[in-house]
Amino acid sequence: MKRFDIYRANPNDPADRPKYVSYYIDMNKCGPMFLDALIKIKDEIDPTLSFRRSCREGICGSCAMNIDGRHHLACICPINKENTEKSQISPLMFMFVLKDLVVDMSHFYAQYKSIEPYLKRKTPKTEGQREYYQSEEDRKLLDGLYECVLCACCQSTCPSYWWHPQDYLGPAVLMQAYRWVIDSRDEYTDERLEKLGGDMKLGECYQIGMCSLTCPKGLDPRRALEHLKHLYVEYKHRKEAELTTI
Amino acid sequence: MAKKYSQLQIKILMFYRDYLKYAHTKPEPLRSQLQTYARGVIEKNRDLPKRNFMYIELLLRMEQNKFNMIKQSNVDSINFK
Repeated sequence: MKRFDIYRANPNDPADRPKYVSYYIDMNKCGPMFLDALIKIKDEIDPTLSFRRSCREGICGSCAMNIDGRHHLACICPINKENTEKSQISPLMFMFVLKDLVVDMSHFYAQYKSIEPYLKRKTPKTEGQREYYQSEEDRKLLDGLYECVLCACCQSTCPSYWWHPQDYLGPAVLMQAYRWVIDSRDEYTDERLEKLGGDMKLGECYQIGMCSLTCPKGLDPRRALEHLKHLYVEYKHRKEAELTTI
Repeated sequence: MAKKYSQLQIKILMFYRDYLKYAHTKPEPLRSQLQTYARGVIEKNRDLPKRNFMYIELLLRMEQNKFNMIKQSNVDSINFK
């Protein structure tokens, strides 16, 4: 029997206080991942437990939660069978809890919306053109960026994001911004960089590296952000040079 | 001496003020509905324990989300349950 301590909270009830509730599960009758354990608890022990889940294979990013102190997708995080000590499951850190393991992601999505995550072109399509082509090298630049599932794991482990959630965009959102900045088909590169420059949006990243450490998909937001900062500095120098020559 | 408010109280009062200001710019059926709704939430939670910060903050956040939703969309009238 393995013990799971799960964070329970119901903020809609004024008398309720957040607490950890222990559940015991026989590991021989349970699937290998944490999500299987959670589903088993919900099915057989406590139907009032609430958490988000959808694809159970790490592609939807719904089941992001804090497992034993590390942010992970519950569906691709295996339960260590040798370790018979308790496991602690809580919602993502520094995000507002709606109920039990469900957090309020609306601010994160609003930030994601603010970077305009879609292809923007200045030149219109010519007659008969159906798609925009890019070379294989250009396509390879996008590897390790487009796989992001927006689970907000990196976002909520970033210490910079804890202090300035309103101003700082956070690693996940900035990595998507970077994905559109380096896309060879996108023609609004300078405008995108200009937008990222204001009010700590990008400047608050101090290359702490918690995002790369925690990413359940194995991506490297830290390196992407390093390059993005580099690109922004280059862009600023270029703009200054343009201003001085005129 | 004027009564001192806590930061949370000031936040709530500012939000209430914004709400009423916004309601005032709207035509009649919606205006009174918004006003009654905002007043109703305050009256309903008047007896909350003063130190239940978590619940009060949640309520403020939820109402702000609802308010933003009302502001963004083109609503003619609202009906909360």
